[in-house]
Amino acid sequence: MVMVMNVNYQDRVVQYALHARFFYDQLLAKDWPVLQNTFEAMTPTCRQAHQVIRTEIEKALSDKAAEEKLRVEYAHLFLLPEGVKMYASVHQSSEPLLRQKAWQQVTKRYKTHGLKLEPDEYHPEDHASVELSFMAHLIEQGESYEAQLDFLQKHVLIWLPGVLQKLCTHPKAEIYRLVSERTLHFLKEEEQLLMQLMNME
Amino acid sequence: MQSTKKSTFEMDRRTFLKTAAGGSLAAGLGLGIPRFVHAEQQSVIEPQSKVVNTFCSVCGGGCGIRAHVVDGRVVHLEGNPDDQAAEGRLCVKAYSSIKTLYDPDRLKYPMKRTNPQKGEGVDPGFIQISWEEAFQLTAENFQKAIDEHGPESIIFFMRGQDFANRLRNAIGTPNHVAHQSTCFTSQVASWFAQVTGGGRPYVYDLENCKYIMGFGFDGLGKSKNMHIRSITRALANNAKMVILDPYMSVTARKAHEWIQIKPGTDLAFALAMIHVIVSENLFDASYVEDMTFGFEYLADFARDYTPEWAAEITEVPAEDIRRIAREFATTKPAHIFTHKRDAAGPNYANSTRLAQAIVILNALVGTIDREGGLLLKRSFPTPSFDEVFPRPDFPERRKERIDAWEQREIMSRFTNGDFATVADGILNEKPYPTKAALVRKYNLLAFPEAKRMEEALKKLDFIAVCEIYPSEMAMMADVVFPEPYWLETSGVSERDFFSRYPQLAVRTPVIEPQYDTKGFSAIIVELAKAMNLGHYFEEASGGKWNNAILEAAGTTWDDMKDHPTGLWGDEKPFEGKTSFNTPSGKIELFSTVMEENGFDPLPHWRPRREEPTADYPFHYLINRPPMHKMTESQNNRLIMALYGENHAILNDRRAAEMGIREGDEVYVESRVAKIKLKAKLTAGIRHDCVCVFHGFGHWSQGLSRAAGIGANDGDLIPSMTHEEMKALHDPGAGACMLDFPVKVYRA
Repeated sequence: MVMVMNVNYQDRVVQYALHARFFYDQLLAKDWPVLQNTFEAMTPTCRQAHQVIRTEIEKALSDKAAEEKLRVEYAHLFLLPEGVKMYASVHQSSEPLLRQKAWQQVTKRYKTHGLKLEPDEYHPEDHASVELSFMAHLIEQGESYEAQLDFLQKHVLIWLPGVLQKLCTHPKAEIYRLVSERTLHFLKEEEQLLMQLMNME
Repeated sequence: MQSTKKSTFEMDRRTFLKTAAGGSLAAGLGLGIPRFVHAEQQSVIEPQSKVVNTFCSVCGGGCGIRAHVVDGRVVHLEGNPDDQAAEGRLCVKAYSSIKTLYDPDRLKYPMKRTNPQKGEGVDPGFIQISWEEAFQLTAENFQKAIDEHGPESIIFFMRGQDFANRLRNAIGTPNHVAHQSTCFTSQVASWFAQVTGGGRPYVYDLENCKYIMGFGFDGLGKSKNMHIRSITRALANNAKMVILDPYMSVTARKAHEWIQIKPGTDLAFALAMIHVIVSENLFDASYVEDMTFGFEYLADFARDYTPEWAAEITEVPAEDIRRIAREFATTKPAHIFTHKRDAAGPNYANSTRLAQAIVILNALVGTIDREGGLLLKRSFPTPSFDEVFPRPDFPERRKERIDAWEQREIMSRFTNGDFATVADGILNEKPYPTKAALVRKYNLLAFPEAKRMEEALKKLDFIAVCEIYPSEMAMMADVVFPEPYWLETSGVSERDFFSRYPQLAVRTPVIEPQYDTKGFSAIIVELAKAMNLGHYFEEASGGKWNNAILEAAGTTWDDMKDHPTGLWGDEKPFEGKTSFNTPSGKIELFSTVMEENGFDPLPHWRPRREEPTADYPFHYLINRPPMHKMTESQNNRLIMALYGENHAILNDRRAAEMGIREGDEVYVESRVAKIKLKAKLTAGIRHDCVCVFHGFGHWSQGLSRAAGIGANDGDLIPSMTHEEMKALHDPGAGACMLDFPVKVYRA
């Protein structure tokens, strides 16, 4: 019996974009309206799945002291060495350094799609936010499920889940623990979905 | 059924694509996520490679480098074969730089502190801020300090730099504190007074020397690329090397004679050498006649400094002293080399006198600014910063400084400052309160008695730190300004450490900066603007200054940025100088400058400040691993794999007597602190000495590889009060980095 699949492409794009945003930069109070619109752009089911995160982020960004606390958490986790490194190279190379083979490979991958990262971008091509953004792009451009799954499996899933697992148990992670748990869940769902979609084509 | 499902999917997908066709949904959300732009689609991507000229900035050597870049990644650094400094080779510190370049622990954005508490083990609570906020915050706090306590309440902790010097003067603070009192001021004082009228030179023509001597000189261990090359060539050319050092340093290991002199007594050995050379007429008569002043004083001066006298003090047999003196004088060319923190560095109360005696000895054998000896720098004319960037007048400022440097009769003319006395000034508000600091490329661990310095920094209301790593100093900051790594920058280097002929090296960024960083000159200009001092920097930029340096040398930035070698300056034959910048125009064996400034014109014997006692029976020695650069390299994977920890290095027999085995944890304790280290035993150190290598003992958790490893040697070094430094009456105003005893015992 074939399972009924409820695929909402908009939800997929919005989630990739949202999770890219979480790891791209710290969250500030001025970001809340855009985040709110993003949650509203989701279907009710998807919005429900993000309700806890939404509530916590809204609380954090509604108050100066709470906003600062969230910014400190972000710095601990993503800017300072005691956190995690959101770069594929660090985890896929024999040495935990930036711009190793994994970075070259994903940069080349973007080029095969006729794309490169905007020149002013500080994050390198293998940063989690970039790879997640690229997934959103693949969906929006109507790339085949095969292409989407291929990028997901050969790039994102090779290293990011392990980092997210670390974030889930990091002593400094509070709101970002919730975010990481959700991202992990989303990526697992994505892989399963794409595999099923490919089987049904 | 399946087909129905499939058609359902396709309809949904088509509907979605139709919706999205007019524009990007992700971009339309306004989340500000990474964006992609069009690139030429390539199904087969060929590697793109290039070679970029640069020069190293790990140390001040400035070795020319050809950086190999493949697909945007630096894969290899090669010594520039056309460079007189590098000659196609680099040292391990340069080769390992790629690891630092790509270290994910580097500082990435400006940050500010949210936790007002500071100190070891305290989480600063950093948050990322914009550059604008970083400058505003710093400007506001500096202005507050100025308004409430005067411009002198701001301290600049950094090496001299033209842009920073101008800002400091524009603010009107006299407080520029640099590290040189812990490094080489003893040698600067002697060279200034006796030879150059300026600083000390660093161009060592070791490879043409036939008799290399050193009092604690560790040219191989200090690992300057050109010195390693020169020494090995000299040894291959049958030069004899004699090294006096209580510890078997890397250089001592390669020496023909390693003499375990008693620490702090090198001056006695040098004075005895003068006695022998003068009394036996072994000096280079024509050089002495033509190039020196004051020879007539030496016979009387050195009369009592016999080898027998020196033997009692140094614990080196008199016959060896006499023999070495004769060998030194009769093997040509011969030279006693010194480099920064050897025995003539500011380690002991008598170090400046040793530096003076070494100048005398080298002059007696005729190798100052002669092949086989130490050469004065040959360089291009330097432009005037004020002429290139005209400015308004500076405000008046107080002369008195927080480190009492203005009281140094000779050294006050140099923009250096005193790491040893600054804590006393800050903590005791001598001569006035200080409230804020701008720090660049100095770590807390570099200060004598670092824990006391930490207390001093806590007393300041505001600290801004320019850094590339989250070092201990960065952990004390209120605002952190991240700088790029040198492989990401442009610049021009004169290369003071090796310039037989004038040669500039130019660099352009090997790769674009990987993080949101700013070059230091740009930081200073922006900070000045934020402080309403922008009028002191009209049209000023690092790029324009680089161009001015090149124009003064006869070329331009536009010509050099794509130059095939990145080097400007043709080889010229070496011609030794025949006059020197002293009152007599000659090398002053009897120093009229020292005399005018109230110091002994001749380096009469003076013992070290403190001898070992019953309670503290050991001499303290400091060295450093050749592959490390001070406290800056301990997060580098390659370097740490080569040398990952420091130890308490003890004589194996003495340790056995004390019941200490290899690897046992021991305390090394001075009168101000104690540190715990594992013991490392060797026959290569005097029985009454303990040696600790510098650079370890990091407590910043921001240094993920370095934190918690080893101990900080500098914790044991007593800092000084203003009064103690003055009482020392040392023309070099040295920090007496080793002039105190310690005790060692099992933990």
